[in-house]
Amino acid sequence: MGVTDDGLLAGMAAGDAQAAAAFVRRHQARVFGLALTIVGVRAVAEEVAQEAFVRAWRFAGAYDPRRGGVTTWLLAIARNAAIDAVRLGRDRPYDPDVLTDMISQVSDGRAEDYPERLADTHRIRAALTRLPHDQRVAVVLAAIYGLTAREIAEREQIPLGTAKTRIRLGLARLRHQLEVRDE
Amino acid sequence: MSDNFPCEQIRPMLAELATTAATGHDRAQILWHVLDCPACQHDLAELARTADELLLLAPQQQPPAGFEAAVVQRIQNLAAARAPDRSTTARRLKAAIRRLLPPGTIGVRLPAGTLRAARRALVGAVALVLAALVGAGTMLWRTAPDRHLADEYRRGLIVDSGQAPKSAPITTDAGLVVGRVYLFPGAPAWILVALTAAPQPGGYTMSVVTTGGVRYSAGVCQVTGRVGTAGYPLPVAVNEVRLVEMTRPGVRLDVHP
Repeated sequence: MGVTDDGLLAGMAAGDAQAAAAFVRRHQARVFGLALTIVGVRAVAEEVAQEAFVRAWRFAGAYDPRRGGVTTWLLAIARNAAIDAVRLGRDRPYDPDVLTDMISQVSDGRAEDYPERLADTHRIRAALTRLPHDQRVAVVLAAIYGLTAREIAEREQIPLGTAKTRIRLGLARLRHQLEVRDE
Repeated sequence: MSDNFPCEQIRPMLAELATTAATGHDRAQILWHVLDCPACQHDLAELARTADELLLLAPQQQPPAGFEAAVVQRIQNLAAARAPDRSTTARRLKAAIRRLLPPGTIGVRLPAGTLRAARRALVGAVALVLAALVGAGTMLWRTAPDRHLADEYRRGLIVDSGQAPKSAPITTDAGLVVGRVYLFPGAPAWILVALTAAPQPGGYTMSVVTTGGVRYSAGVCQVTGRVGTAGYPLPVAVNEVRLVEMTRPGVRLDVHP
């Protein structure tokens, strides 16, 4: 795998252009893909993805490997940037087909991805597909699309309390399943 | 501190914060509670890790050609606009960077420009966050500090144990409580304002006044209807904040934390 993600991030934060380019190259498909999933427009997604990398550079000093890997840290930054963009646009270009694909596909592996990341993706997807459908949708809408419980309630035409319960139970079950698999 | 928000009330809300589905006011309540509750803090960190792992499921897509170069250029431009070099710290930072990088892997050589960037990366998150605010020249990213700072807390609290958090009601001249201000210690310390019954809609300009009388701008809290939240990094420690002012034409709200 060569230089670790942590090493490239440190290099990028230190102003090393080679490290920055390598870091971007390694993660750009995930970051752009997530941004596009949330904002739905390629031009906006490109701006969001660029902003995510810039924020990663700015906040690199605050990254703590004890609290998770670089990839999920970076993707969380990208998600926040995408949600900010969507909220300011007062639009939710949410595509139900993309969502359906995301929570039902068996495999989304890419040949150039690293084996451990492919394994992670399969493990998480398998855990997600074991959730009841309603909880699965609520968790994905909240965790990936950044919808509030109220927005999920409106979209699913359910009471607010039900939306909150679906998020809570779904995430708790998911956490339990991933923990069991980790042990 | 947790007495105001008991675990029984907060625990069901942790998943919403972990997934970022919590609204600004709920976010403030949850963060305020977990600061002083190790059990909820642990649960929140675990739920947040689970929620973040879901992001790996988003389909991958290659960006348009030239993306990588554009990002590197943006970073280099921002780095060039940063503070001047201080050679006295150069050798120490150079050594610190080398410790972070696997030996012989990417051949880091450290010219003056690199050392300036290294100081930014390693010396303090406060400067980084403030620089992020100053550098955010477009309105597109104006909500980033609130969400980003809350996210850092969400993933595992960054708390300076030597500092206590503070909270105070926001009241009108007539004594009506219209919201609450929360001051969270950490790196950086930050302020989260939650207006729940604002006198007027629109933007409220916020300022922080220190015990030494220095005034800092703390951004704008945008109120829709009567509700609005905003979070910004503090340039000073929590215990140095004497006054928080929120103003808009015809309205002035003072908060004494």
